[in-house]
Amino acid sequence: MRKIYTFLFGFLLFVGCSKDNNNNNNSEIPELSATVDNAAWNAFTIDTHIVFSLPNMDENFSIFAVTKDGHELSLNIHGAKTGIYKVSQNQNLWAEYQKTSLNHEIYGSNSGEVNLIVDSLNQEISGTFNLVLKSYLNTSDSIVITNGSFNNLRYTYLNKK
Amino acid sequence: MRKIFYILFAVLLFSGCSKEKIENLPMSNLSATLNNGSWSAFTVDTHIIYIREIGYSINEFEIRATTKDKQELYFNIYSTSSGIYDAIGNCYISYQPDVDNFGSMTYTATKGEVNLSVDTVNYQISGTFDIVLKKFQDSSDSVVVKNGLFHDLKYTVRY
Repeated sequence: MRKIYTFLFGFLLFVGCSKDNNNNNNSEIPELSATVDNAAWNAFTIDTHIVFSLPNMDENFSIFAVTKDGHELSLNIHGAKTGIYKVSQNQNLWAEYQKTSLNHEIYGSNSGEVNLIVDSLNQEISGTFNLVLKSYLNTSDSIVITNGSFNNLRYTYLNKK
Repeated sequence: MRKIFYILFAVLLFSGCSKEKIENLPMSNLSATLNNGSWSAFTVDTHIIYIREIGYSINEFEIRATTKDKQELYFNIYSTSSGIYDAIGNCYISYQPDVDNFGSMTYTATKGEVNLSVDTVNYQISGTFDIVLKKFQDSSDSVVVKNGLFHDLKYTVRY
């Protein structure tokens, strides 16, 4: 009987510990990540909004992701519906990357696409992306972004002032 | 032995329940009482904005909290250090009941303060606020924000 109690106690303790570990792992999963020039890239803050563009006040998605060390990736998706948005197709997608914030070395999207999934009920978006961006100052200098993904990003509406 | 087991079982069960309760705290990281009604942000954008001009540079906190139904509370705190900041001299705070209509509907703070706590190791800020805001074009129309609370807002530096 004592063995059964010992076993049950150990089992309960194990279950408790397992739950803790799972929760910790979940909280560490970045909501937006990618591979930038073959290195892992994880956003620390992400601003996700529907913004309106003139002249017709069309709804567009704006995702602004920043790493702890200040590298910025912005995705401007010209639409607010689930679909594939491509850089070169009627400017359905525009992306910018700022490699080192202080010197304002900015890269603009040259090719690539975002596969966007919109959950308008819960106001969340998910998706994947791959991009090639080129420096505005030196077009031979480029950045390659692969395996980009974002998961369950909450969004709200924003009027840019 | 059986009694000891029951006690241990109850303790484990209780500690499990307690953890669930902690995890079930409100999901919003910024909430308040606004004109006596509860107000919770759905998204909160938090950044240090770096303003640089010739011979002059300053860092400020910017917090933009938005509800699902397009209300927005905006804070621009003219500092990046922990402290108590007056809503008039040390901050710009505004409220918009509808971001689609921001022009004529903006309320700005006329009274109150923000108590800011900055965790520079983990890049997070927490704090409290109580403010009174008045409509820009009609000062008799006001919004009272009480029991304002934000916790563990991750921030990055925006240039």
